[in-house]
Amino acid sequence: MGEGTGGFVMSINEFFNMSGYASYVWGSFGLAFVMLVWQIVQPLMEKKAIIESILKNQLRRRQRQ
Amino acid sequence: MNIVMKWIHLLGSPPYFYRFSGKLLPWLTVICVGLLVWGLYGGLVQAPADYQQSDAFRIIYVHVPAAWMSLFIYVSMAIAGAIGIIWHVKMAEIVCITSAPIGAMFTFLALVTGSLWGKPMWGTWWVWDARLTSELILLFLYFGVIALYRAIEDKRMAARAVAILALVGLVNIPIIHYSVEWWNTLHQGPTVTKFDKPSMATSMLIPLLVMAIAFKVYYFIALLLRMRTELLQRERNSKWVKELVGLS
Repeated sequence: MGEGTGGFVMSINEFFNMSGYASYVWGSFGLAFVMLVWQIVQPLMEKKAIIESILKNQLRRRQRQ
Repeated sequence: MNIVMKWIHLLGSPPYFYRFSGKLLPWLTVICVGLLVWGLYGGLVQAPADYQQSDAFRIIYVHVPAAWMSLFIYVSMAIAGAIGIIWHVKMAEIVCITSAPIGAMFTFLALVTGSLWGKPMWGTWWVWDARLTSELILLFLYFGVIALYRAIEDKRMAARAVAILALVGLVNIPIIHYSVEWWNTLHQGPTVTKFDKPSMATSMLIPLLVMAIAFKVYYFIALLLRMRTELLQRERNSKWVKELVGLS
């Protein structure tokens, strides 16, 4: 643990503090992150549901035969 | 030219499109993540703090690209809708419909991040000035497109109605862009998209452009994913979908 580590920790704190605007800056980027991920996950989940329903329908049809 | 036309024609075939987009997606994801890392590092770490707004100005790196995308996606949606109506291209109809939720997301993001930027800088979350109001109308136009498509049972009819609504709403796009010049707004004028040189330091401008490109690639990824899902749903009884899910 040298002096360099302290300076590094200081600058990390400074980075997260965003000169006092942390909630506004990180709020904006955080919301963007959540929404961008959601827009990818949603169609993938929908796709999974469609495939499952196709397979289920097929199974039902085979049982009827 | 002939080969290009043939390939475009081939993309209109759902199984070919599904296979091709599946191969394209991993590459697009790598490019998008790379650009996002570059843009975020440049914007949040490398760019110096603004002399007036200090670190609060960094919201620009999500607010402005999101606002640009809200307009870009609306225009893409309207053009795709027009192609769908005029030439009856099914794939264009799907582009039009699946663009709407992505565009709505970017519009919402632009409004909320603008609000989060406005509070510390203007002292208010919201004002009814021309820029903010016209952007809010854009969000309602997106909602209108989504709601109209869901409300009409016959999906071909629905796609036509949606395309017409999207085309009518196109009039709002230049209003949003020029609102800061035509009216006295609290929102500032254009910094980058003007005929003069951008009034921004290069070290601040480059991350902004990188983020803008990253968001464009992201739109392409999100669009392909939604198109693939829509195709599976529409063609669930066809032979290629059955083969895809491992039946027959």
